[in-house]
Amino acid sequence: MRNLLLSEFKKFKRKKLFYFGILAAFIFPLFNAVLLSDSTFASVQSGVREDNAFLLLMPLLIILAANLFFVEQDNDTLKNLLCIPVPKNQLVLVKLLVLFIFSVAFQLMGFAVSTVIAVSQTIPLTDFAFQLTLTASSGVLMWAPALPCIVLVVWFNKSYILSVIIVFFYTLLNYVMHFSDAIMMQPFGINAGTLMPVPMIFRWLYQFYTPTGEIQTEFYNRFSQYFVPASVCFGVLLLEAAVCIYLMIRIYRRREI
Amino acid sequence: MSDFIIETKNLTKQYGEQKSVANLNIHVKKGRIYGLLGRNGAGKTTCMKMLLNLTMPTSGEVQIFGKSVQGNEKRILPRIGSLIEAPGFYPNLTGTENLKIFAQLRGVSKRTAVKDALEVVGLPYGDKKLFAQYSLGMKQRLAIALSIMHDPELLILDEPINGLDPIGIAEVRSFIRDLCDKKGKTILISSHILSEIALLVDDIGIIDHGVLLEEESLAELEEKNGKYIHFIVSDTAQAARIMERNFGTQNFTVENDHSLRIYDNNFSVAALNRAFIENGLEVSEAHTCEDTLEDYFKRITGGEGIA
Repeated sequence: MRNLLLSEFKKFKRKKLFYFGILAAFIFPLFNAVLLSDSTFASVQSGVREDNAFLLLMPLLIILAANLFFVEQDNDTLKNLLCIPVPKNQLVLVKLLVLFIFSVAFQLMGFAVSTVIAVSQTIPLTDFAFQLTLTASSGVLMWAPALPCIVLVVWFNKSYILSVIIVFFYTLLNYVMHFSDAIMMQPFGINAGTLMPVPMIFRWLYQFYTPTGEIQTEFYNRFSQYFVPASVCFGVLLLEAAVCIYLMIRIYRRREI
Repeated sequence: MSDFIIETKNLTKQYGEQKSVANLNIHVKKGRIYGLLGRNGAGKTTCMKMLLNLTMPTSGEVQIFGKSVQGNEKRILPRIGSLIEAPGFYPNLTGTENLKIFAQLRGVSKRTAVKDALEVVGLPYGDKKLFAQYSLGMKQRLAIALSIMHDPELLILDEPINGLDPIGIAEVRSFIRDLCDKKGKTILISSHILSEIALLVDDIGIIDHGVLLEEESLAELEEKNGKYIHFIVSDTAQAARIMERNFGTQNFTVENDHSLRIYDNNFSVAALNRAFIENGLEVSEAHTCEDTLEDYFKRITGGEGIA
């Protein structure tokens, strides 16, 4: 398994997509530093957790997943792996592990960049360890929401273009949902606010946000009754992830060379 | 335990209504080169994929090293080196980097395994050229290197000489022969190029439309191959009468007004020639001929040549 994981990373050598993906973690921290005037370390990191994660990390994860899962098919290398033999379920799990590591690394990179910017702006690094834990957790959580989309990419097994279309709509849908009162202001249960990943993450993350101004405070108070504890958020998303992983393994197992 | 390294029992692969491979029973003996011969689309690759568990058989069984492949993949597959269809490698990596990945996954312990394998196929070690920039011949060589890198006991090679130049073909042929003769490897090789099969293999299986038509050693096949005397004479009708009257045989064919093939091996060219001339025929040519593998293939498959 360790060798398989290392080999997956070696396959990224000279691939611009991977390096671009890591560099993309700089985008929102720099953007926020230039255009916004966040005064607290928490609000600086909040930008990383929400904008970086919801708008950049999720599509990146799915595009990277398409790349990871199509690489064997496009280059006809799956037969070489299966003849070793590498079990198909292990192959799927390792590719998902690569995405998981990328997701957490991306968020930590964003955290590091934001911290450097905060220091340069003489913003005190209040609750540093807590902010670091929250941001790293958002990396863990963002990996899970990408999985349903990755299932579709694996299922259709067609082309990058289709994957990009899926990514675009999935990211947009999730992002729009977390602005919608109709979706967000619902109790925990069988509804989009619970089952859709970004709204669920937002319901957990937003409780750690410190609102400023009348509008934000009013929203925070109204929304607070729909906050979910970490156990629920992680539980729901990891359960969804487990279902997705099971489906992916089934799809991959059925596929013949 | 069976004497065969590979044995299939009624191996069948069906896609919808179409049988790609039907009730295939092949037997590959230890330390020999077995050539699976057939036209493009005859079912050779599908058969090999089933041997390697890349494709599940619709019915039937594959036994390798005396064990069923299904359920014993972890024990059987590491002992096999294979090349199936086109070479598959990561285009953004060099040949050496590609092989190192697979060596690591295979757990190859010999430190020089990649270098040795590349040397054998005549590719440079540590070269900066990416796989995407390789010629077809280089790709094929790299795929052969991959198949031998872990020193397997059995090699399953699907059309290994595809894309190689004539010198490359001769090199690979000699190398495969050496693997069998000097290192005792068992090799299953498929090809649609008859001349290559004839030069390389010990045993042969002829497959057509998914069905194994013949399976025998090359020596047996050569014995069975038709030998005949080919005459060009002034009048084949009269020659035919002489054959029946003087030699008492009808084991010959008249091809046209001047060409005659005599399959009865009881008569010498000299005796036949003398009889024709004494009866007033002009004899322009007389040859002893033997069917080529291609003739044999045509006769067996009842159709056109193979390539």
